[in-house]
Amino acid sequence: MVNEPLDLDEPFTVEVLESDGTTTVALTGELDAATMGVLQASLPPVAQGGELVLDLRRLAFMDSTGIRVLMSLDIRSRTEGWSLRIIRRPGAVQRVLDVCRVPERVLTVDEPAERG
Amino acid sequence: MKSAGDPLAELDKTLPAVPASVPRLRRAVTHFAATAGATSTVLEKLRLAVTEAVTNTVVHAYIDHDRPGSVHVTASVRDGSVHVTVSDDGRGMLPRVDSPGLGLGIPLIAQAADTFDVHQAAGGGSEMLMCFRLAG
Repeated sequence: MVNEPLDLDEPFTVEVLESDGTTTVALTGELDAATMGVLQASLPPVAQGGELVLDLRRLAFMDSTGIRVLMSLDIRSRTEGWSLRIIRRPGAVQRVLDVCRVPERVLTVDEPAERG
Repeated sequence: MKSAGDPLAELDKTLPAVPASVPRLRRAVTHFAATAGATSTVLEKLRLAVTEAVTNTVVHAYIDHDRPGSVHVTASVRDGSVHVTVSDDGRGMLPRVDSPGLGLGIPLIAQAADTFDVHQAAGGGSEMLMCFRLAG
């Protein structure tokens, strides 16, 4: 089991980058009930045929609140006709995703260039 | 000053049952357990379980009230384990047909903690009890 340092107290931030039909949303800090609203307010619309990439490589913590956001995005992607991809961070965050079987529904990769 | 390694030391915090209290209580319990010598693996499990338990109170306990009530967290060290309680005096374990959650919180706590119990408190409200072996 990977024991990465705990990035305690790092502020939660959302960085949105758009390029060639791909919107990358990079998260930093801790995603929980206190910060979920910040994420939801930051998520841009995604055009049909486009792609939303959630970059979790700098996310220090996520609980089922984050899982709910991911599942909501997954459902939206399927109904609105765009694709969703997660860039994983090995360790605690990925273990929560694995326990909740998120990779079975959402393409999850190690690097930005990977497309499964 | 008593330390978490002192068998008589205990964490005891009560905060409003609002989202902003979730990270505050997570960090307080994590710090307590880290001071008591919990391994990083145990701290990871504890962080998740405490967060889910407090969030459960924030989301569900006081939906019948005009204002949010309180969430009460305690932590103590006994017999090589951290014992954590998360309790409230809200609506208890009444079912909700309009739950905004996915129902993952309780299963995640049960998966993370070494022992886990949840019950309705005698005077109403709910109490969750979690136990984590310090050495994992």
